[in-house]
Amino acid sequence: MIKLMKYEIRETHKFMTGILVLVLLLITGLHAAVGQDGSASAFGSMFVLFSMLTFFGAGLAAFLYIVGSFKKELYEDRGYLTFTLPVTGYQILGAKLLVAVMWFILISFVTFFYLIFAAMAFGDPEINTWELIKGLFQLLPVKALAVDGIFSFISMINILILIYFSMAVGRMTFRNKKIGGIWFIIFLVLAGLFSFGRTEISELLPYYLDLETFRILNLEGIAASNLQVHLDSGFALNVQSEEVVNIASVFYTLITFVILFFGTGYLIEKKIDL
Amino acid sequence: MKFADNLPIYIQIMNFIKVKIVSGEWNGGDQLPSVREFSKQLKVNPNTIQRVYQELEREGLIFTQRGTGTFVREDEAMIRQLKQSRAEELMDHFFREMQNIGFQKQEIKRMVMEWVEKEEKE
Amino acid sequence: MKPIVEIRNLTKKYGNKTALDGLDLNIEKGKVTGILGPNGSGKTTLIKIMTGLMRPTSGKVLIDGNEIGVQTKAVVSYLPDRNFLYKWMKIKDAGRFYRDFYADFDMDKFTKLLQFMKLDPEMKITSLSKGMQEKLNLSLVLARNAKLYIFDEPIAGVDPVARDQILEAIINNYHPDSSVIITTHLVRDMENIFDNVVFIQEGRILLNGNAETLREERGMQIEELYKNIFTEGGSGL
Repeated sequence: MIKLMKYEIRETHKFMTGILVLVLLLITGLHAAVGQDGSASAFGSMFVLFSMLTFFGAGLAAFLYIVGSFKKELYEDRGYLTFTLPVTGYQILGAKLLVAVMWFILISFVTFFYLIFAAMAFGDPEINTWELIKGLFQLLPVKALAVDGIFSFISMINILILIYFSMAVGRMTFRNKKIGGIWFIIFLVLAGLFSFGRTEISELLPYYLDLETFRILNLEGIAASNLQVHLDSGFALNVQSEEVVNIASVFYTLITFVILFFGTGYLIEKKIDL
Repeated sequence: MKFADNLPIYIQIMNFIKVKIVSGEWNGGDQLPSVREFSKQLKVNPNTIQRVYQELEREGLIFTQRGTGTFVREDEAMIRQLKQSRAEELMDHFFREMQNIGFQKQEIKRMVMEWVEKEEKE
Repeated sequence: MKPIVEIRNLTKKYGNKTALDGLDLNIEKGKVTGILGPNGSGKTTLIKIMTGLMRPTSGKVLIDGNEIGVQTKAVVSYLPDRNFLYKWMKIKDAGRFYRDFYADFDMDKFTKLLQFMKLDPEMKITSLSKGMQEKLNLSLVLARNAKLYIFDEPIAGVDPVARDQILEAIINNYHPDSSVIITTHLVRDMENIFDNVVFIQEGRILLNGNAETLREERGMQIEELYKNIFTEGGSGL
């Protein structure tokens, strides 16, 4: 599987490095445009708007590229190479997911640290850099950020595997390549079903884990501690950056991930005709 | 070499080799190409060449020396006999074809005589 | 000797269209077998099932005694009739890819094959012509010491010089411990390298036998037999 990952990385690295460089350039540009006094010129605010759009676009492009790399195997001639290799469908899928995870971690980490670095580099040169970092970490809700990061990460991987699953189902059901876009409809339907299921289950079992204190709370407990509950993503955030997660929802997410992973692997292994 | 339409490939290659031997192009003691080399030259399956060599060996035209290769047998009588049977085959074929297009034996005989005389004059 | 491929009552349906219809076939070990049939006869479906790209609707396929899976993929060297390599690759990268995934890949043999085919390892895959691409793919496939080679239309759409090179490479690298399956509709160019031929139409086997025996019995070359069988109505049988 390491070898599969190696070739997956070689296939995607140019595009991903490109995205990363673009993002870093934009961050630099943003700081330059806004200027040191914090006030922005007309051009500056245009640039900020443009950059925000591009950040969003870059993230989306990276995501779609990862999606496309799987699509290539199922809908294009590359499958003739990949699916005749002496490896299992699970290994192929695992390699693709791990490489995607690796890229997202890499890009978000580099972006995050570069943001801090840029803030310092374009900030007041009198301030001691190290002090600034220390101050920053004290100021930042590190724990909340980490939890947020992990959860948005998990939901992204879940979307990815759901897309893979939808593509596999789409490929299996419809041999006609002309309606290849069918996987997207399958994806929308499944995504709707899964999030409906998550909402239902978290309403059915309203027990939450407080990540600050590791206490289990019910809805009254949450109301008492003034937490906002985001049912759709299964975790909640209060004003002090204290977080609770719906326990059932977390298990639901993990179980659907496992089911989707093995489901997709099984389809690749046993059902798909190229 | 070009293959004809109605015979198995191995027989055609056998005939090809027989002609080479009869015509004296390949002499007694000459080495034949290896199976692989020959199959490459003719673009045919090595198994076919293998069979050709086996059949020719069985007919006593060639022999294989372990480790060194396959050779044409040095046997005047054998070559004469081969020449004879090859000639018979050709005559057979000729007469059959002539009869097919409507000539009688006597007519054919006369035509052959005339043809030989004409050839001699030239 | 046990056959390299055993196919029992193999059926493949796409919706209500039947591509393979209860097919039974043994492929002899150590032989070159030609699978002949017009487009849509089911020969590509058959190949795809043997290589694990498609699943049978019913029936059984064994290669070297095993059901199709990772184990058979490791011993089958398959030449598809399309460009399946990564676009970023150079020829030498493709060789490394094969070495990474197939234990039976022989790098020296690959290098020799490239020399024979007059291909430069530094060339980019995307810069190759159709004929060069075909020669590269064949070099990759032949450089494996596989138990079974499967060539799907190896000479379709390439010029006569490349065609000769490809045939020569197949003959040169064929050895009696391995078995070869070739599908083609260009029967004239390839028939002399077949030990056995299988005629297939509408997912069924029409005729299956030793090529030389068939030539002897029918008094014609395989190409003529092919034309007789597949010309309208299939009256040739």
